[in-house]
Amino acid sequence: MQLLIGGIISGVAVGALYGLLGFAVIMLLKATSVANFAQGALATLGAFIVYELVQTFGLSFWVAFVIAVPVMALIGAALYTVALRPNDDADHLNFIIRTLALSLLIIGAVNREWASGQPFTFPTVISGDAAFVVGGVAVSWLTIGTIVIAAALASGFAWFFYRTRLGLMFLGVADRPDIATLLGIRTRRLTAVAWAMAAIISLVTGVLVAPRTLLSSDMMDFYLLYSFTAAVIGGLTSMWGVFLGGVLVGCVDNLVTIYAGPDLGTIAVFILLITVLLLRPSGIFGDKSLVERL
Amino acid sequence: MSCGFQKALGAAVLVGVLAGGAGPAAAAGDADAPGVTADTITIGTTNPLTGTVASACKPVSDGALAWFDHVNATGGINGRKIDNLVLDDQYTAQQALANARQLAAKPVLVFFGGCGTIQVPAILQVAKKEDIPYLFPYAGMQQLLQEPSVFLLLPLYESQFAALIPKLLKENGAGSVFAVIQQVPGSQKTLETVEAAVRKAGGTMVGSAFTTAGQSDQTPLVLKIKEANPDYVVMAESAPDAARIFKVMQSQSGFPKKFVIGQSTMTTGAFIDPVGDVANGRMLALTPTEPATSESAETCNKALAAKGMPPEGFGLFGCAAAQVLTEALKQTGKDLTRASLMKTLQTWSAKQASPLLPPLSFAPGANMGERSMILIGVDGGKFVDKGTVSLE
Repeated sequence: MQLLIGGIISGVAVGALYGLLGFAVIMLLKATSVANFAQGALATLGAFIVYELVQTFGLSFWVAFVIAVPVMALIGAALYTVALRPNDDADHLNFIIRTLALSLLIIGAVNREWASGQPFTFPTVISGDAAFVVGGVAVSWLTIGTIVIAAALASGFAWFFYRTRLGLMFLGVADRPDIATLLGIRTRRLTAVAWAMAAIISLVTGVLVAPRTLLSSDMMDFYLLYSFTAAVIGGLTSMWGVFLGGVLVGCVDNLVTIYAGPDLGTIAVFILLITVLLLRPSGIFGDKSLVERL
Repeated sequence: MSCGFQKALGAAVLVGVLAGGAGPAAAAGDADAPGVTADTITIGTTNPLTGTVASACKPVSDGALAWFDHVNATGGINGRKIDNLVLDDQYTAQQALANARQLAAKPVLVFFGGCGTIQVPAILQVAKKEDIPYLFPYAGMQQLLQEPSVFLLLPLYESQFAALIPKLLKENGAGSVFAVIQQVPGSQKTLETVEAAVRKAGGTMVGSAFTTAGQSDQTPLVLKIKEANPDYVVMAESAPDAARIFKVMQSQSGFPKKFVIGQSTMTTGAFIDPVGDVANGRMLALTPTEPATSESAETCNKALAAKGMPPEGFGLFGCAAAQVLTEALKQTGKDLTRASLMKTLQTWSAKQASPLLPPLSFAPGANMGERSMILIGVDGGKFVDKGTVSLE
């Protein structure tokens, strides 16, 4: 019983991180209709920038983080401007391939600079000490902080997209960019802003993951895979759905890993993914398409 | 034109053709000595320079290159400089296969060094097909012991556990053991060896788990260990993954009651740097080389320092392996071929080829050179020498 409880609690903890990265994917998808496979690489890059500022310049973590926020925003906007804005009337597959290439490019750059000596101990963001123990599992302040931050971001962006003029403009651009342009919305500028925001969310994700896994250029590999899975399971149109999808993925993976091994844990997650896609293609909390409604 | 002049001209042309024909062959090496020319010995290495275990494995090839640079700066071996070509395999068998083919086509005298077990079957496939000796990889795979053209310095991980587990359980009390094994070729054999060693020492296996390299969340594993509540955990992991497990053990209070019994991969900076004091008194493992603080490490420490490398675990192993190779090349002499080099190695009995290593013995059918290893513990966040363990 202790193992079961422990598996669920640790699954929720790691699932919140899958959801957070998946949230960045969803946010960019809602704003631009582009599924960004470089999201994990951006999280890695952000974490390394913070690490470098702390190690080389002796800054405190929070000062380094505050500096990294505009840096990552600029990087996100620059990546869009250089790699996605040209020929932006191409089809979705073209954009997906571009984001995959960006992912390889970013990780290559990270390895060029920081390959030697990995993994590194990341500066303490939130204490990793146990806040309390449930079912024999220590729940750390870092875990609690991750869940609180994830919930705050989800609430904040949900309010932003559905309750503010700018947020509605983002949704309009994603849904019908041609009509948005006719209405005078500067679609490309908005898209650059969306990329900047997604890069910042990736930075937050990276600095929450690195203390758990140690900082390395491959630390987000599993997270990216599971975050897309969480987004699809939760529903690509649902801000909250991706977090709940992440928790579901985390719990399934952890419990199956505990009782049957890590390989079967991964298999179980993808069986869940296929099952959801077969039974409810829009995801558990996603909006049904018109065809599905009919 | 006179008859005598024609004969002289014909002889001159013949000499010219023969000299020109010898040129390209001399550049690539004779058919019996690929990779060997009048002034260069070319050897090939495929090693993870980037990727999951690069932090642990890159120092192996860097340490070897440091020693070869030192040797070349002092005149080389028998008038020849050593050219070590190192290609990145990113700890994948596919890339290692491509690298091995590329090196074989170069050609190289031998495949040398490298680190990681996953790549070994791919490299071995090319080595056997092209009759290339494969010398001193940092890898643990049972099959290597049966290959006549493979020479090993690192005892297999199962040999390490077969020697270390009975010793430690006898000295510290037989008890319960949980095994954590990373999935690589031969990992099932490693688990079987651990189980047999535990039984032999009067201990009890209370559980085991296989892990995947680079796994993001080690919490499920540590929860399983906690539930089993063992006296010892036997850990066969790469250094970065072992460090991640230790960090989760710390946060979940999931350490075994006595200590972790590790393998040589954990005796490097990639483990101790992120873990530090957390491992104090909590880990014991065998290492093939003397630690950096030993007097024996002086020559390699200097060579590594000349390249800006810290003196530690895998870097020292790479340097020691290079010292063994250069000693073998020196002893083989000018008439250097693949066959003559292997013959030299096979004559060694208790040969002190590197001050960092115990005496080495090779023979036809006995290609594992080391018969003992150094026991390492952790104190003050650093590795400390705890004595020697015989593997026989």
